[in-house]
Amino acid sequence: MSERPLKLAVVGHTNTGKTSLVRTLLRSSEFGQVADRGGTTRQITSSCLSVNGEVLVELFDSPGLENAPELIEALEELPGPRHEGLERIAHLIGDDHLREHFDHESRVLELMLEADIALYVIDAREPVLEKYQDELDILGQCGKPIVAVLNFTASPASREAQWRDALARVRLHSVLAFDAVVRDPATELRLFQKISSLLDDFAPVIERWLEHRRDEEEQRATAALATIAEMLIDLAAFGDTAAEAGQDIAWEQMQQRVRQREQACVDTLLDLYRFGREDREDDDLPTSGGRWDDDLFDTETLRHYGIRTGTWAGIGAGTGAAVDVGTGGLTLGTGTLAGAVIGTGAGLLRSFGRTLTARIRGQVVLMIDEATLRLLASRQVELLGALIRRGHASQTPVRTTGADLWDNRRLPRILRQARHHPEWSSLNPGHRGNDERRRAVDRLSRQLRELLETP
Amino acid sequence: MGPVRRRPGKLTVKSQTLAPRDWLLTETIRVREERAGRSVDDEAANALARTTSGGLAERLAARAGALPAATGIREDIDRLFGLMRNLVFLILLLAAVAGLVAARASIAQREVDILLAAATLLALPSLMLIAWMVLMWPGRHRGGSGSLAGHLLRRALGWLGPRLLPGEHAAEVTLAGSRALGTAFGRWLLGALAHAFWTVYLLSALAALALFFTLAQYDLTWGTTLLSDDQVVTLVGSLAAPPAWLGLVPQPQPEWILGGREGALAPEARALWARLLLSMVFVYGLLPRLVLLAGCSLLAWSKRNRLPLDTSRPGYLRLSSALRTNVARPMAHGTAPEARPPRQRSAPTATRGKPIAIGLELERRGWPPTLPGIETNSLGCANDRAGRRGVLAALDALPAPPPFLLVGCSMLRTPDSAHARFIDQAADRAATIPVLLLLDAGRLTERGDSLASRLADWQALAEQVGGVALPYEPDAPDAAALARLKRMSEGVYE
Repeated sequence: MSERPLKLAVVGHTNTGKTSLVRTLLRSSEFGQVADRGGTTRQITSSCLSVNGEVLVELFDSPGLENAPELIEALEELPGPRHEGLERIAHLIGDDHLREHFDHESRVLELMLEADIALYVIDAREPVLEKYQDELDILGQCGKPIVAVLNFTASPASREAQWRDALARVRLHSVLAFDAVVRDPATELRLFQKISSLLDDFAPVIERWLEHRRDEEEQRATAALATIAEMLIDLAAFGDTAAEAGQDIAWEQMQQRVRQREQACVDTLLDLYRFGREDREDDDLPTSGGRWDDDLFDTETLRHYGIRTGTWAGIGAGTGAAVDVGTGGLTLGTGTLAGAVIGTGAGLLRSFGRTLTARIRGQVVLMIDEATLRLLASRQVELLGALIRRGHASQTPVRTTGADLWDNRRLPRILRQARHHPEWSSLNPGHRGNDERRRAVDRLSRQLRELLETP
Repeated sequence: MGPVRRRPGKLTVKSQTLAPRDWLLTETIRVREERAGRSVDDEAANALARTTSGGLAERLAARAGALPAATGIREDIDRLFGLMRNLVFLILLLAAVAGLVAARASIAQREVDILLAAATLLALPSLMLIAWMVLMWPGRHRGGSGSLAGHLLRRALGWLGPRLLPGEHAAEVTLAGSRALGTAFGRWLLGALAHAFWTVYLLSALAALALFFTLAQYDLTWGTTLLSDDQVVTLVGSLAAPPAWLGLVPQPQPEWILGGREGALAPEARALWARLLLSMVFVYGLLPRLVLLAGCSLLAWSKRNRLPLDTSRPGYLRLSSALRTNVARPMAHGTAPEARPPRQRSAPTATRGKPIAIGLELERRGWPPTLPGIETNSLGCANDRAGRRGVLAALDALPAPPPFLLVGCSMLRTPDSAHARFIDQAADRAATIPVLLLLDAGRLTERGDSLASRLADWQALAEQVGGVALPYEPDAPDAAALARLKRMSEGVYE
């Protein structure tokens, strides 16, 4: 049992993605500098994985090893028996002249002697060159357990099999494909399990860290689902009363508010799964620049998601027969919608006024239609899925699977119910954040979780 | 690098609670930002929050306080408190009036049945007390206060808030206020309010009774239709026991109680019967309420500055990385090594023969590539130590410097110091300038890497070894590059 934090050194050749790996493990894009160039990290930097202020793991990011071939020759020339690798390395570190000559390398070796375990990061797209084998040889002489981390295995140019073979030859069997740019909790778990299997003493520390990670991931997903559910309830219950003559303008204003509400939800989701604001521009998510490209009220967008429009039967509009849908539904006596509303073609659900007086005054209630709700739900869940899967340093696109969340079946009851509760929508003037609404949000987010977790 | 030191433990206090005003402000901002999007101008506020010591809750509060909208919200919160005070005052006034009315109703006639009067005065408060106790239990997780007055206050606030608060965040402030009443602090506060209501009610009733008993003559008696007199005597005796124990009335004797039977009241016993009624109202009505009022107030007081902030809410969780303090910030060890100065290499003199071609860590077959119009002597590939040694030995053996050393490099490799050292050594041995023929640009872009930055790295390496970098695609030879090589092979260096 160990009471001190685990010291984890991340080593490897230059530009193999060591800092990206550290960032992914830290969930922080602020750590170090990442660029697709050699020698971006020039000195050893450390950071901690801590739970409630207690440091569990210390991560050391190191500059890349660059000159292993010469170093191995220098080590071989040192006096002493050949198998006393550790002593040779200590000798090298203590020798000022050699130290100056192998500036980068001696820092890394010093780190190796301090650390409990090392992650040797490999760019799996590279051929197994002798220099890499030299590096492994030298690191092996430090007498610390090593886990080989194969980065970029998702690339078509990956030579994972060759590498595994080569690593087996140097008796390195703790190998893990860990794409530093894909944040995959399962792989992260496997990495720590490997570490744990090599270092029994630190197993409890690692278990605590993984526990913490699971909690965090769970908390994040719960918050994200609640965010989507809140938005859906807000928009399902959102309605505006307008005089028949002014409904085009009212509808345009409503659309604007609906878009803003969706954007607020997207912002929250991105914030929850992001590590600093600057990431937003190069995100490879279904959104671009933190926004959805396709307009919410465009029928093309609905079509893209395979959502059928004009299915007005079974809509929980709540006012009996006096329902008509902007997309070519029935109009029962009220004037036809002109201009902007027809032009946009989608998104509107219209009924007569909720109250008798409103009906007498010829007012109509405008709400967003079922298809739009489906779209709102589908694309936010799609975004969340992409966010969960992606690694934050990701530079490869996540496949976007856009399809109706409910397969064009009925909307969940809770959303249909929300139609009858204008007070549930924070966009309505009479909004009340009561317990009933809170329960509705809870139930909806549970349902969304099921949909998210069934691919 | 010095030994790896553990950062001096700056323990974050795991207190996720705030004082009411901060709590309300933070919640208001959260509700706002969850619905309308995060404030765009929050960077300064975030920076300030990061320097705040304490847990996430404190940092969130610091951020909320530093946002431009905070001033307006604080004013609204002050008004909300004012509104609450007024509402509480109104509710207590209502209680006083109700107490007065109840007291008057209980002694409507000059001849008063003491047990009936006591029941009239005590039934409602006692029922409400039981209801409070029952409702307090299941509502403990949902912020139920179990009090009618509290419920009234919450509803009234929700309705009045947006109408009476002038700020643009009135609705959110009200919502936050309503949520605050759902916290432990809010529950005990509402509990205290409920007990205050009935305390005032009973005090007002007692005062009214005392006033009436002082200024008018009432005959307080008892009577029964169903029970025997003895049973009533026992009942009255036991009801009077606690007040008597407290010294409010003397312990009534059975004979004396029998003397109070309807129609048999001795005039001199009037005052004592009135005192008995007053003390019963005090002991069975007021006393428990006073105790509970004190208890609830004490609990509310103890929690007044510790309103728990649920930091798992999306609006807070999203900020947690932006507000992360420097606990997880990287710490650099040692200094960055200095960059080597670039090597100055002059053009070779008295060159002889063809340029020498060396491949460096190349995967491709067919090195050297055909360079139309240029002939080279190839020394093969230097992919490992043995290869490099062989190449260097071969270069040593050259009788005269070649026009240049053509080093084929794959841009798939990241240039490193081993490359630099080898090229440097090779050029030294051959006493000529190295020309780095940069291959595989197509494959590099194919796998999605940035050609520009890799090219820049190789160019930097070429500069460092005093050589020339020349990108070249054998499948699509660049005429300018070839012309340059041609000139160099003829001894023209520029």
